Amino acid sequence: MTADFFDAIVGVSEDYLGPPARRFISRQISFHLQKRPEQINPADMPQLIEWTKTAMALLTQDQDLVNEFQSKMEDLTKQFV
Amino acid sequence: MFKTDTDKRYYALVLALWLVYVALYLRAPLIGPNSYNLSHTQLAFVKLTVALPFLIIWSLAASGAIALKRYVNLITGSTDGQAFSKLANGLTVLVIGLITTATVGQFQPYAFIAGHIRAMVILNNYLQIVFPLVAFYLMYQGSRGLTELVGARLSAAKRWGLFLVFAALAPLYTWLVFHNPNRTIVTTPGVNYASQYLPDIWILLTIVMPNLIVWALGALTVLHLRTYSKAVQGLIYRAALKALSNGFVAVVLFSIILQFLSATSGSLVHLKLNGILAIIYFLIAFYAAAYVSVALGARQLSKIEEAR
Repeated sequence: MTADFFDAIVGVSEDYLGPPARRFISRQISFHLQKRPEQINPADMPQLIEWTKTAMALLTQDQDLVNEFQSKMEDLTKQFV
Repeated sequence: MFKTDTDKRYYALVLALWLVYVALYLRAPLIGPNSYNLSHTQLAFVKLTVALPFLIIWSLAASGAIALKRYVNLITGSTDGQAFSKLANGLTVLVIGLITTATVGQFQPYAFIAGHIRAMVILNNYLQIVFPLVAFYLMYQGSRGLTELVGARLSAAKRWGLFLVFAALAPLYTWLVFHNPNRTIVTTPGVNYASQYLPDIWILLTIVMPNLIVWALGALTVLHLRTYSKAVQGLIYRAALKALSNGFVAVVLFSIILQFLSATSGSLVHLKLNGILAIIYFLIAFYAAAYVSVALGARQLSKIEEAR
């Protein structure tokens, strides 16, 4: 399930970050959660969402876009719980 | 501006080459009549006002290439990394060519005095073709690689548009080149050396056709980058890519404008000095903006890769 879950997270992120999405999410997981990307599970999501939100806010001034991303990540988490 | 010691070395090299360029430019013998009746001091001042923006544009061009190289280093090994690597290599070749051809061009007055102007003009003309040819070929390969990654193709409208532009541009450019009476030998009083020193068939095969190929590769690069920018996913990524793509568009346009001016340079003789300076400054500003856009886009893309 976890590898599928990771792919689903990347899928959501690609709408915002394009081809770098997989690298971006992998980096967030390994750097902040000290896990391998495929080990991510829904319980890690609140922490991951916070970190990705912070990182994304550095990349765009569009706060609505960041909030939309957060919302989609939360919806995704619910699907996998 | 200087992120690493390597950056410092690149900028130091640019400065050193510019000093060589200025030394050659300022000390160049006056080989024609002093058309604008300038004193030595006035002439040196005019030369410096032309040379100084070259330092700015070379530095900005180097910053664009360095920023793109840095981005490529961040994504080495990825599928888009290979395509961007070709784009960065192409841009680097273009910047090296920009500096090399300008510096080599400053040897022309010396070659004229020494009786080697024919060889110097031919060498300079071919350098002005070889660097862009290699650069735009690499850029074309890189941009095509990017569109293939997202499974996109150039639309029929774009392909037809490109064909129509070239159908108009190619005969016009060819006509302008062969309309220059001083292309093989000097026939106009006041003109010191011919523009090509080659027979017409060689001009057609080795100057005109390669330049048209360079422009076609440049135009295809632009179209592929635009197609990729529209087809690729990622709102934030696309915004960063837009600046990079716009920069490449401007670089290609400048290259084409420069070749056109080169083909019609005979008509510049009739302009007043401030008219010539205005054209030079406009082109320099345009070119500088292009490289700034490339650098900004590359830095924005790098931010995505560095964000933690």
